[in-house]
Amino acid sequence: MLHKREDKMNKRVAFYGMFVTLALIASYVETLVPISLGIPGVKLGLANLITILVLYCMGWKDALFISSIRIVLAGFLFGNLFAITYSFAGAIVSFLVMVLLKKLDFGTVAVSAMGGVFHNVGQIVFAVFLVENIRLFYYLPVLLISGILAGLLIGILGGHVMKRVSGMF
Amino acid sequence: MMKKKDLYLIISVMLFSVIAFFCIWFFQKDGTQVVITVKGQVYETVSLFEDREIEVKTDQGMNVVIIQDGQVSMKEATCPDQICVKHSKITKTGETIVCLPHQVVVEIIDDQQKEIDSVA
Repeated sequence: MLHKREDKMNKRVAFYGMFVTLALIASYVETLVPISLGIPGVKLGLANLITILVLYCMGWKDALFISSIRIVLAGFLFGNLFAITYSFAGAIVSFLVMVLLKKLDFGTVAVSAMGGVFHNVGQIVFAVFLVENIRLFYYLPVLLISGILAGLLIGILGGHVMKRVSGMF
Repeated sequence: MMKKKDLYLIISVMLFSVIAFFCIWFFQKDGTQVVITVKGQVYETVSLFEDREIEVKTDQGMNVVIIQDGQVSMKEATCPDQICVKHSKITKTGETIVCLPHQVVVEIIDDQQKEIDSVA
């Protein structure tokens, strides 16, 4: 009995290590391919692929843990302290929406697309409060569209990956 | 793979975003004034048609705004992320360049908006 529980724990630790690493690599790859439209916040969100994967294959607590670790590590490695706070603002909103939609039985594509959208919503709301200027919402429509497109792509990709790795868990 | 309700949700949010985008695009005009704010307080308001460089000194650091040929951009900044410097040039009303670490916003308005702002 004790053995079984230990086994489960070991498996979890191994998965955590692997997924944090994968998410970090995704963050790194993203810094190598900057999509610059001249508007801040337009990005692919490759690391969300891992968040979605963990969310569906393990659970929301695991996804939250791995996502948080990834943000802090990626922030220190490729960004700065400020990037971390900014990243968290988007990630928290995005994560809540994704967990909620998953509970409502939506599929990976919709969950990922809305995750992308609300990541950008979270960041822009954070920015508006920070600079105390409501005019920043001007960029919201562009960021909504880019969030959906990026999220769709990641969601479709996530669906395919999940089909292939789901036997692992 | 994709359920019907997934599709409906995605399409409705997409539709909303595209409509919002076109609304903003439709009401957008050529600007006449450049307003620089720090922490929501107006730092300086200048004409868009006068070429000049403005140093914005904040508690967190410095930004250099450059106005040239009716276009505004951030020439340099001492912020860590440099997102404001990479931002494309702005010319139309409502467009902004934001430096989040320094809480600096450069925005473009026209004369009409200036009157509203001065009344408020």
